[in-house]
Amino acid sequence: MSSPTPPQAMTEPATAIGDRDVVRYHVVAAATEGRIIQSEWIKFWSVRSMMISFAAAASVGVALGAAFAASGTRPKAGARTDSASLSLAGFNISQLIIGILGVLFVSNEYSTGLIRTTLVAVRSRWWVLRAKVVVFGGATMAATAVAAFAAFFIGRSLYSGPLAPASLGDPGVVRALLGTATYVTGVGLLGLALGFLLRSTAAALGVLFGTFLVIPGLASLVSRSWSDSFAKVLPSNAGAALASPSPAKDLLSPGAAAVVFAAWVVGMLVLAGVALNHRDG
Amino acid sequence: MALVCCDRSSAQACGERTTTRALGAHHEVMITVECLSKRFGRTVAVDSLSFTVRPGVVTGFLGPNGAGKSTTMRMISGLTRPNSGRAMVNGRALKDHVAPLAEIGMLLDAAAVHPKRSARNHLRVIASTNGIPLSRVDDLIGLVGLEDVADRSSGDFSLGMGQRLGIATALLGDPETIMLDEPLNGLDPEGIVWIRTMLKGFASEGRTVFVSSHLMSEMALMAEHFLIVGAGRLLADTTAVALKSMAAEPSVRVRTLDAERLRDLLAADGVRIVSNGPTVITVIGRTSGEIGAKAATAGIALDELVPEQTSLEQVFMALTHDSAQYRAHMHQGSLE
Repeated sequence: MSSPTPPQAMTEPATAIGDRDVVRYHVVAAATEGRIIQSEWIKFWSVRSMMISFAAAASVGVALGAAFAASGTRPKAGARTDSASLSLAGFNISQLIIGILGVLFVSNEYSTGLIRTTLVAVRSRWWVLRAKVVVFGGATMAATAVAAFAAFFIGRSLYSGPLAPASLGDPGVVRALLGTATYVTGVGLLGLALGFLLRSTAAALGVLFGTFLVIPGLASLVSRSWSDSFAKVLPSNAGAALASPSPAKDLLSPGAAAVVFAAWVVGMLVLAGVALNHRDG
Repeated sequence: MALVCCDRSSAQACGERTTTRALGAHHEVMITVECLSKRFGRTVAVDSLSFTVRPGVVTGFLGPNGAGKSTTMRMISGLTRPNSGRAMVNGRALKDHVAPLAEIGMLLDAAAVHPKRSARNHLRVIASTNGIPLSRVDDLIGLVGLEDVADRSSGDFSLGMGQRLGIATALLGDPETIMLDEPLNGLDPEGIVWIRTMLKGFASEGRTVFVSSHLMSEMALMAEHFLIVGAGRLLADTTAVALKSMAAEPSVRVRTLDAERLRDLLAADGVRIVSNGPTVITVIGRTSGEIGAKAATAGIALDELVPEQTSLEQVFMALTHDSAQYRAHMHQGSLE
């Protein structure tokens, strides 16, 4: 990802800060939002274990998808065994890894104290949140979109099921590929938001896993009439509807799912930003 | 002056005066704290603190643990919001400056580094926020002597190396003001000398250097100006010279089983008394003859009465004694 900093455009004119400052700012130009993005980008790539996990998240999706597609031979009633669905199944694992990395990208800074060094260097704390969203969200989106298309084509060539292998032109396929990338990215951004809100790796991971693994299971235990409508709008089920070429009947339509899922992600990020701004660093 | 300023009834007059002063002082490089207060629940961490840290000297911010030093520094940095009052760096709140890192360099947590990130990349992360050129990162790695380890994970650093990295981080923006919270904690003698020499050098270049410590012995060799706090309040805003003249006063070490009563007996203006244990006190501002006479009148038996030279440490203890005492009582109270 290249840095979106316009080289000079965001530097404030010297006259605005007085003559004294012109003399003294010989090392520093200014803190701008674009530069915070640059800084977050360096944070992103400069910890090797993070990069390895990030690459693993993308490749696990592709590898598992290939394995599922190659072995998808026995159609069960109601099971989705088309090559596109099988190829994308591996991203259920990617999504968890990316969620963990999203949490760590923020909570690590609270555990080390780096967040404070960052906050005192900027003029608005919203910049820090937005820069993390741009860097982590952008990188995840790019990597998982590439991985989803790779998984689709590899899965298609290995597919051994009873149906004709899916093609890009089939209804819902391109939407599902981009939806998979969006879903995984959204989980990562929810991880970021939880990191800011809870400031602790353990607490944020607990809530993240609870939301994606425990609550959907619990929802299925309570009375059907209530759980059906409730379960649909959980981020996990809205995301699943977005990422599936032919969503199951008990899920939202892709359009509604996109709105619900976006509301979760944006809502949590706004909450995180408000908390970041109102709490002492 | 500071007290009048924080008084609510005269707040307006005070506001006018500080505005005028702030405008006049705009071109000066310094830290200004006005009527700053911060509570955490029922605990008052900082209580109506007002002071100015001026350029050209190292200012020691001294007080026992829990006196409110770190909280004050965090309010200057903008990380912690005061309940009332304000803290300004070079005439404005830090976040209102175009490039915060060029205004003030700070070391608040020594190890605020991801352990798996190299020192060089850590400095790049911070430098890029304010558009500081990468050549400056290399310069600073050289300046603090981390060339050999700059590309290693900073998690493997010793305490002293971590502190050097922290100092390098603080200096990235070539700031005119430098604020360090307990920078000597846990350092070996060599590291202490290194930091002391560097900070004195910055002060002599005309920069503002503000350093906290809970040990007078650390500060005595470095600071020319002292801000001494206890229980969140300013106890002394004075020069090293003035403190040393206080220390030049004769002091007397007294050992008696009745230390408590003797203490009350001797309490008066201009007399400072430090406890050195249950039966030993050091009295500053009374001669041994005066003490002996008072004790005899009251029928207090003295085991020892030794005139001695007061140390800066003892002056510091005497100044902060009451606030430390207050805290000790508070803790006892909360336990019961």
